[in-house]
Parts: sequence; C-alpha cells; structure tokens
Amino acid sequence: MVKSFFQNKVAVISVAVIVIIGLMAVFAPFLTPYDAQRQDLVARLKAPGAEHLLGTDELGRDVFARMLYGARVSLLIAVIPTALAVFLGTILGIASAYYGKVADLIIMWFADVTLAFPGMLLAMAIMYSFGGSFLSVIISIIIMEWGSIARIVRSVTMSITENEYIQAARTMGVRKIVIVIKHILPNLVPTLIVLFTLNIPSSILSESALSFLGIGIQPPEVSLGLMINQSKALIFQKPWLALAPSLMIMILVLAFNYLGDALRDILDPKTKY
Amino acid sequence: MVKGIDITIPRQGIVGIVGESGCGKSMTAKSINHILPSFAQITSGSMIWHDPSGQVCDLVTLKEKEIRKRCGTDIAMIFQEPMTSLNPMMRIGDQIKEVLRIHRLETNGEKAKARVIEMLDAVEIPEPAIRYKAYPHELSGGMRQRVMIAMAMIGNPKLLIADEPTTALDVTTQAQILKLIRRMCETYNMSALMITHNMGVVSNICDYVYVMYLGTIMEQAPTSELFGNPMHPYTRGLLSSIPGVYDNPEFLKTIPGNIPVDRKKFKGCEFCIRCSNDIKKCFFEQAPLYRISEDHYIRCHVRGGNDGDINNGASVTEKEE
Amino acid sequence: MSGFVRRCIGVILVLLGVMVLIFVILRIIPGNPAAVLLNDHVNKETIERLTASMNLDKPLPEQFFLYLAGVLKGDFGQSYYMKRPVLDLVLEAFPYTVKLTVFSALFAWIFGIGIGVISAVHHDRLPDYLFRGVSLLGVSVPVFMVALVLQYLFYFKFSLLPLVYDGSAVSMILPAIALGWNSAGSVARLTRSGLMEQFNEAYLDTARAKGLTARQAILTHGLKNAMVPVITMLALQLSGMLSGAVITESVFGIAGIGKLALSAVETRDMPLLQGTVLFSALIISVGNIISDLINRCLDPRLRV
Repeated sequence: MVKSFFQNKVAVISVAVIVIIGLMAVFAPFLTPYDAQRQDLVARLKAPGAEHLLGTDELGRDVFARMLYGARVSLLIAVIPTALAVFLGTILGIASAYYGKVADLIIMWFADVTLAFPGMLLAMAIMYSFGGSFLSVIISIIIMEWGSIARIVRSVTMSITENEYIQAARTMGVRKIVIVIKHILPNLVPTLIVLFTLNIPSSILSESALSFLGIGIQPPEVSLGLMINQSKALIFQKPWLALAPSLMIMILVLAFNYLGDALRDILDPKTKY
Repeated sequence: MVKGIDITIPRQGIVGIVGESGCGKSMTAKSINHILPSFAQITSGSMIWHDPSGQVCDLVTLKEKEIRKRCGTDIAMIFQEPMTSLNPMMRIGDQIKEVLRIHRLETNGEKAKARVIEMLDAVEIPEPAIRYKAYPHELSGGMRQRVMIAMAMIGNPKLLIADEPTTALDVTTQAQILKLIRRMCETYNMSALMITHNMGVVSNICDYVYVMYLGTIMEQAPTSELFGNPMHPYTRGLLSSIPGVYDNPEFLKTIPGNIPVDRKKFKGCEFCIRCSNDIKKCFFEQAPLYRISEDHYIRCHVRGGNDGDINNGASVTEKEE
Repeated sequence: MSGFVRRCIGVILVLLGVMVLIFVILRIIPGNPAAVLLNDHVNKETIERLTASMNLDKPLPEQFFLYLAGVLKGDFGQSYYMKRPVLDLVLEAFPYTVKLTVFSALFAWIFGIGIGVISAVHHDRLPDYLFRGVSLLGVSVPVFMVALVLQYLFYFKFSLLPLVYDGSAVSMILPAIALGWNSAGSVARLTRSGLMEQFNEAYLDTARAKGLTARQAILTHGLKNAMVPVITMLALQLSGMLSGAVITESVFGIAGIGKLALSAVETRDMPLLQGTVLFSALIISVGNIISDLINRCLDPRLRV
C-alpha cells in the first residue's frame, strides 16, 4: 500500500505541495524578515518587488509575510475541526449502525437536522452568537461536516458488520465494544483517511468564505480569506493583494482534493462518495 | 485470443459453438457485429456475408457506420443476461421500437407501436399491449429473454447470434426459449448462431456444432454425428461430464486440469496438457483440421489420421448461402 | 406512496429539529438582545418594554413555543433593525436568490454535463485530462475568487459586463457563473464517473447490436442511466448553492436571502437572522423532497 502510494505521481506531488506549504507556514518567521502585523505607512501599496516579494498592503504590511501567517491559520483550521468532525462522525456513525434502532433514529435525525441548513447560514448564526473568532469558526466547521461523515461511516460500518466473521464473533459472545475496536475500526481506517483528506478542502473554503465576508477571523489576526476581504476595495488597482492569498487557498484546496482522490484510488474504500 | 476458426452458417441453419467458459465463444460472436470490448481487436481474417440479393461483402472490413446499418436488420443478437442486457431506465416497448426508429423501418409512431405489440405477441408474451409499458425489472428472466428475442426479431434479421441465451434461466424456461428460437428461425427464414457451454442446448436446437477450446475449433460435425461419434478427446470429455439424474454427485466426471494461463508462445495443441493421450508431438505442433467423414472434422494428431490438412488458416469466416 | 408520506413526516421532524437548533444557537449566549439592540443610551424602561414585546422575559421553552406557534401562522417575528415583519423581508429577497440560483444551476448543468460527457467519451486521452483538470479547478476555487476574477476581467479589463447586479439580465451573467462554477466542477466529475461506470454495462452491447454506434449508445442509453446520481446531487447542490449565494450576493450586491442574512449578522438582528436561516433550511428540505420525486420519475426501479 505504501509502495502503491509512491507509485501514484498525483499523490506524491500533492503531498509534496502540502508539506512545502506546511513547512513554510511553520517556519514563517525564518522565511521573511517582516512581521505580519507591522505597519509601515511609508511603504504602502508597494508592487511586488525585490524588497517586498509580493508587495505591501494599504497599511504597508508585507503581503508575503501575511500570506505565510495566513496559511498557518488556514492549515490549522483545515486540520483541527476536520479531525474533530471525523472523530465525532466516526463515533456517532458506528453507534448509529451498531447500537440499535433508537440510537440510529436519533443520531441520523440529528445529522439530517444539521445537514438541512446551508452550511454558510448556519455558520453565520454561530458567528452571531459567539462572535467572529478562531473558536467559533472551528465550531461551525465541525457542525457543518460531522453529519455527512457520520452518514458515510454508518453505511460503511453496516456493510462491514454484514461480514460473516463479525456475525460469528457475535454469536460466540464477544462484546460489542470489542468487536468495534478489533474488527470494525481497522476496516474503517481507509474510509476515514479519505474522508479526512476530502473534508479538509471544504474546511479551508468555509473558513476563507467566512473571513472574506468579514464575520470569521477578525483583525488583527491574519487569515487568507480576511486578506482578500481587506483588499476588496483595491481589487482593480492592486489586484496582487487579493490574488496572492486567493492562489494560496486554491493551491491548498487543489492539493488536498488531488490527494483525497488519489488516496481513494489507492485505499479503495468500499463505498463511493 | 481466438484463432483458426472457420465457421459456415447455412441459410436457415442453426449452428452451435460449444466450449467451456472463457474459451472465446463470446468473442467470436461479438466480433461478427463489431461489439468487441475496446481491448480486443480483429487482427486478421474475413467474414463473408452472402446477401439473399446475391451481394457478397466482408464484414471485417466494414466501417462502423456500415456495420451498424446491418446490425438489427441483417444481424441481430441476444445475450446471456436478460436483466443487464436491457436498459433498466426504458420501457421495454420503447427499447424494441428503437430498432424500427434507428433503421427507419417504421417512422409512424402508432404503427411502430402496433408492430412492437405484434412482435411481443409473436414471442408469446401474454398481454403484450400492457407489457409494452413495463420496465425490465418488472418482468421475469424468461420474459426478459423473450423481450430480447422480440427486439432481435423486429428488424427481420437474416442471422441471429445468441450468446448463451439460456444460461441465466431455469431449466423449464430454457426449453421454452430454445423452442421459441427454433420456431422464429423457421417462420422468419433466419439462420442462427448459438453460443453455449451447454451440450444439452446444442443437442436440443443445433444442426451443426463447432467445439471450441481456448479460441480454437477442436472438432466440428453435424449434431447427431457429434453426439453419436465424438472423436476429439476434448469433445468426449465434454460429453462424459454431462451429469445424469442418477449420477452420484461425489463422482461427477470432470476433465482434469484447468485452462492454462500463459499461452502466448505456446505452439502445440491447446488441449495437450489436459489430454489423456500423452504424446510428445502434441506439445510442439498444433494439429491441422483432419477430415473424418463428409462434414466431420477434427483437430487432433492422434485421432485425425492422415486424411490431409483441410484448413489451418487464421480466419474467421461467416458464410450464409 | 406510503414511502413518500413517511419521507414527508421525516422532513417535518427534521424541520422541527432545525427550529430548535437555530433557536438554541441564537440564544446560547446570555444577555438581553433588546439591550444590545438599543445600546446603553436608552433608559431601563424602554428596554423592558421592548423585552416584553419580544417575549424575551419569558422562559426559553415558552419563548420557543410562542415562536413555533407564530411560524405556523406565518409570523416569523419582527426585524429589530428594519422594523418590519421578517417574512415580508425574506419574501422580498427570495426571488433574487431564486433567480441567481436558477441561472447558476443552468450554467453548472450545461457546462458540467457537457464537459463530463466529453471527458468520459474521450477518457484517458488529451481532452479528458484537460477537462478533468478544469473540473477539479472548478471545485477547488473559492466562490469569491471566481467572482473577483470575473469582475476584474469582464468589468475592469474589457468593460463587457456590469460590475454589480442592477436588475438587468446582463448583470446576472457574472453572478450566475461565479456561483455555478463550483457546481459545474462537481457535476462534470460526477457525470464523467457515472458515464464511465456504464461503459461495461451489457445493455450498451444490446444497443449497439440494435444498430446504434458506440457513441450513440453511450449518449442515449448510457447517459440516461448516468444521470440518476447527477440529479440526486441536485438537492445536495442546493445547499451548497445557498451557501455560495451569501458570498455571490455580497460581492455583486444582489438583495437576496444571503445578503439579508449577512446584514442581519452585521446589525445583530436576531429575528431576521433566525427567519432567513429557517427559511433557507425549509427551501432545502423542500428541494430534497422534489429531487426525491424527480428521482422516482427518472428511475423506474425506485417506483413502488
């Protein structure tokens, strides 16, 4: 499986892209002499050049530095809530599939409820209550994503429990929790890996959309979506201000989408989604 | 994959190709009307079509457009799985009517519908006017195969290719479908090529039989001759492995061995590994077709004797005379 | 039909859950929204009067049932900020969102299905690689980026189309493309994979044996079967499209539901936000039922 991963060019390239951007985000302070927050009113709205790699914004802040720090936020928002949503979705999905009809009805009803909202509008309601912040963006992404993950985990779990060896284990009196841990979870792993990878791009897009609307991450924090929001007024005169963070979002999303597709081909989980 | 086949289908005759799974029967059938899967190709050979009007043409060289013109009108085909062979999303009547529409046999919608219903009646589907509107999943396997036959017959073809038409059906339905095909050939003046692995089907319906093993014809003879006087060890194996009702299932006869996997470079007789005659020559040299009697041929060094080579060319010939 | 009735009951239960959830989310933070609304300048009496008129002094469960009763009668409450019934505001905004969604769906479907079909027919050859790249790009680009790039190119660079929506049909072109872009990508991907799954189906052999060319067989018989999952995606896309509409409407200045919700967040107008979110969830639920019905019509196997 590891071998077939390295034979898959798309997978290798997308991992490389993600790792490079990740390292750039982590080691941002070493890559640029500028701080994401430091204003330099003398050097306002400079075009990309040798001194400022991607130019400066209307407050004289270095766009390249801001982009690296923004990528940090985007990657954190990509990984943390997605991981939590997959975790929550897995537990509830298995419970729904394997712990009786009542649990199934309630959990799936709740999943349907959260899926009945357009994600953006539900997130806006959360922003209204909690205010625009890191935490509220994370909460809204978890609420947006857990339902569909739970649904898929449920259906895959159901097809796993159809297997005779699991039914045999049941008849021999093995406890449900043991079956879940020893038999169901290991079989779910490929599905979970693919789900995790394919949900990351939607998390990135949700965060950037909320920040773009001005209700997500708030200044003075930096985020890619927020950078575009702040440069909206100058979009025609200084397009690079918006273009740099936009391209960064696009590359990240593309890389994770390609990786997810490739992983699905390699791991070949049982159901298609 | 398939080589050295020379098949002649006489007008109104029913010819069978018999052999075990994976030996290339279906490929042969699909090559006739050019519906081979994309990985398979006809590399050489010819298929000579003798039109009733006296015209002669080679089906292999026909362009896609030209062969499609003949499909449905000259050559029709029915398949093994009547469930998957029908479009699940379309009413069966419309699927049959499509043949008339494609070939402009009947442009008037009402008249076309009437013809379809007539044909459904001809293939003994009860309440044809109601069934016209049915979807494939609403019909039983036997009914679906009747629909397939109706679809094949509506263009009034001269040749019907039936690729394992009864394999997916239960035994009583099998007999009914075979009887129907036989009757259709007689009423509509049509020839048929039956592809099957079932010796019972062959004895039931075919006039002449080709026994195929791994893409090569091993023996060919009129049905009665083949069953009465099987010559090739493979044919004998096939006939003796038909289970009788009173046979003890523990001792069902089989042909030992399985189909060899790598046979690209192999020059000998395809059957030698499983053959009871352990002769060195068979491993190095493919036998030619030997003539046993007037229309009984066999490809075997041991049994064939020295009556002379009849045909060993790599050609696929379809003749209708 | 009983399956359909059960489905409708399910949807009603889900909508009830939707109401509870949105009600809880909007009131999870303690504090009197009336006080927030009126700032600190007004006297206590005014706050109390407003609080009472909005039932905010009653316990939460009672508030919920009062709200539920109101909704059932078609009363979604009064907007704090605009001082008008929420339902009126939502119904005024709704046609704009419908127009936007319909046009972008049209764009997405025409382009998505077209590209998907070309990709599948030429699978693993140059046009396929090209279009697969384009469709993956389609799903990977944020909506606002598409919107800004379109504005930059078609308004600023070439002055071909208006910058924002002004009521004319021409000014709807850019918003529709911006919103439809993502869906076009996913429709294309699904069409391609759905169509390619049909390639090995036996009924295509039958169609060719009837006299259709391979291409005709795929485009008539194959496409019919491949479209079922694509249509099923309609409902899923409706949700995504309403999400995207928030952004598109804000960029292009369209006074639709999304813009209304955004302004409700910005002006801290709780009843208005509650009403718009609830209304959009209702739309999605209705959309789910409709796509279910369409599916039943399309796929005879689903009919009971």
